[in-house]
Amino acid sequence: MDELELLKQDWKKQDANLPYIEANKLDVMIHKRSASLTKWILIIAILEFIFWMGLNVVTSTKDTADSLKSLHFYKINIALTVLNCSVLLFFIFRFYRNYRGIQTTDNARMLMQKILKVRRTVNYYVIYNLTFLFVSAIMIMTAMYFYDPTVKKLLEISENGQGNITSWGLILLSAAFIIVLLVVFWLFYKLLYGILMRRLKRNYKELNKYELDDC
Amino acid sequence: MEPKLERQFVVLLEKKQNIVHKICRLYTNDADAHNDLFQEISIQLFKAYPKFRGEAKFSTWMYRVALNTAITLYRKSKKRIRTQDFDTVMFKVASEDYDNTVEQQLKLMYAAVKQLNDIDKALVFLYLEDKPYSEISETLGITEVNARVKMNRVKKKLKELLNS
Repeated sequence: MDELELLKQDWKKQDANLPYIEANKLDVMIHKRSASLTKWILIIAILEFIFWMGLNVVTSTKDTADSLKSLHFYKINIALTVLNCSVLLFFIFRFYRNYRGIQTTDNARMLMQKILKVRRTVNYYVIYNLTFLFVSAIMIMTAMYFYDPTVKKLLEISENGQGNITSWGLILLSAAFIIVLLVVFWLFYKLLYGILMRRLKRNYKELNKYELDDC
Repeated sequence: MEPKLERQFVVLLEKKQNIVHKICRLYTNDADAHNDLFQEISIQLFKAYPKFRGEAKFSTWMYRVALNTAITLYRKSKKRIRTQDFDTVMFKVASEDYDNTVEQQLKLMYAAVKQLNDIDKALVFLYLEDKPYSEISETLGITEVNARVKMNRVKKKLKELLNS
């Protein structure tokens, strides 16, 4: 293409028109804080780990323990907490290892692949937590159905034909509550990572076009 | 980083800063964004420098880190107000010896290149920098055949942009 060759010739003469930054200014510049995508990913991942860990701590108060005991759920809860902590440690270890693997000196495609892998680690952790939230909510609600005095009373009233709530109604209401909670979380993640990773995903897709082998 | 190594890096960056400026001009549209990206690339180069073992030329290594930052790592600052300064938006046509038609053609070409997507811009950039296809493919992580195919598509795309 003639135009591109013409551009190539002109390109070589560009240097004279470019800005010039003195060494002392460069020295200051390189010590400034980075605002890169990987830094954002790291910050958000730490916040996510803290959030899910915090949620576990908040729900482990004495009051919760007492009410769990009354629901015959205390021992199961201890086992679940141990499981939760081990899973958290596993994910932090994996995240750290993958994050350390990100190198700006890799080729563009590999760098993108590694960043996506790091993000996927955190995504799996979030999926684990949402599943955990879902399963434990169902378990607690089942326990409440059998052991919680307030729920029992409500159901007794309805069976006598005086109340408005039936057992099916209660189950449907609980299921709707859980679904809404999960959808809100899912939308939040879609939005957050949609904004953060959009450009990377678009470029990764572009690089992968017609590329059959893996890096 | 050791002060000696840091000094060495700053000297090299000062000498080769044109590479970074050219990438900044391709990937940004105003002076503020240009400076912002230049800073981020400098930081990333500085962070990666201790691992630079001299197995490749400093400039080759620099192309890779700088392009990776522009394409993947750089996040535009939302706070910045867009100031459309046309002197920095476009590459200036370098020589004044051209006749009007050639100058006009070059201006259109620079404008068309700016409209390409991030990956195509990188391809064109490396091509204009006279890099062989083997180096282009290594920098981007694609096969040499694919780099050639993509470059042909970019040429076609540029032609379409020029005719539109």
